[in-house]
Amino acid sequence: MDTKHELYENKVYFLGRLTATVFLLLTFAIPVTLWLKWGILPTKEGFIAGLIVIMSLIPLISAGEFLSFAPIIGSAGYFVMLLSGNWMNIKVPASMVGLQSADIDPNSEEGEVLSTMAVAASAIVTEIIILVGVLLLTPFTSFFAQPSIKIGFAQIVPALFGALLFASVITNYRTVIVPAIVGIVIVKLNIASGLYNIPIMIAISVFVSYFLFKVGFFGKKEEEVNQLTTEIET
Amino acid sequence: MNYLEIANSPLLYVITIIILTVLSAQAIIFYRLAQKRAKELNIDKKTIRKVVKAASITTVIPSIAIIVGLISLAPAMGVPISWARLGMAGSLMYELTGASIGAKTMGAQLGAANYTPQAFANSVWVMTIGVVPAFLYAIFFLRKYKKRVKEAVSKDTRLQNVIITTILVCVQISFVLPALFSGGSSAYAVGIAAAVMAIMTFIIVKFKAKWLREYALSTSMLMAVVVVILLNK
Repeated sequence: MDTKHELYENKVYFLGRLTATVFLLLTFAIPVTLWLKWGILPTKEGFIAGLIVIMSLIPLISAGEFLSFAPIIGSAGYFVMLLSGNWMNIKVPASMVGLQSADIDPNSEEGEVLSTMAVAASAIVTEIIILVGVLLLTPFTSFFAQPSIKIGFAQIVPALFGALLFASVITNYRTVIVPAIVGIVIVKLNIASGLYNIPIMIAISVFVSYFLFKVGFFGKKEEEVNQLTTEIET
Repeated sequence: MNYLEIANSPLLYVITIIILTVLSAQAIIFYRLAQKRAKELNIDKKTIRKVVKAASITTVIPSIAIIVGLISLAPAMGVPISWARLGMAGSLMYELTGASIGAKTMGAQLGAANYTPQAFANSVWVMTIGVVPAFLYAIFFLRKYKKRVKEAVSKDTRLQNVIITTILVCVQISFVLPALFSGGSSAYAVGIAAAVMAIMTFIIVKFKAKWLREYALSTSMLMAVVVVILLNK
């Protein structure tokens, strides 16, 4: 690994950790202001109950997201995603489509750098669109309040993943088989609460896919394929 | 003083704008850092432009969905807090869950008559605290985890591809299956988006229209939304 790469990585993690810490503290400005300026605080019992409920859900969900998305988004991009949110519905698809459009391997160093630029650009675009939304909130409210428009826009996430899943099927249908079977079992049998579906599905599917890979389910190894091609050619 | 007057006060707008400015500044800093590294790696400008353009186009439609979320959250939480929460860490689903838990544990319902200033404050605290674990994981474990993943799969890039694709497909399936099983508009949306994607893929391959790839996902989403709107008219 060259020094320039290491320098870049060091910078990314230093800046990433710094901005994440500062930002996290900054987000507390809202509830703290409500408390100090207007004296609005929840009751102790209500606060503790809320804390227990959210802490029984979120740490596991966040861990699942962390384990799933850290390998596929560049480290710098991950820190941008951390602050700007909307991972599954915006940032991850935006990064994937960006890399695919230029035929970049997400596992390469080029992929790492370009996915960061994709996520950063995506974050800025989202902020601009929300800003426009806030400025035009009154006319937007009456437009989006129409029942059919409301139902339509509520379907963006299923539509997004329907299209992406189709793309996955035609790119490599073999990788879809295991998650599809695991998914059907989990969803149909209602094994886990909706919030835990994704991490459980990923854990089981990755485990099964790993073994299937070892027995050659996903095709022959590259060297074997190359060897075979050479043999055929000769 | 009505809590909504507080929730929509200028001071909260100022805090929101500061938070979102810091967020945008960080995105710009990392963009420039990556741009510099891209230059060192001899990635040409055309490739960068292509990636950034495709990512930006893909972002537009789902971002409009956030405005819809803003419209549903703002009457209960006020505009500035809804704006801040939806523009940063988290997502609409998470924020609605957090706000509702905050209300419920105070014996109230989000936005209902029993939603007192205290219940409102509880929603805000729960939403704020809820994102803390994600930050802690990234701050303390991201580097170690990424290094371990790389070491574990670097010997075989094909295994790496299989694992990464499996993770992505799981995310896709976890949204598609419930939509299909629930039927109605969600199932139509999945089917239409997949069909449009199929048609666009066919065009891209048949006519070698590679430039269309960056519009494929957005077009599929948009068509699905439009058809569902027309079906519900």
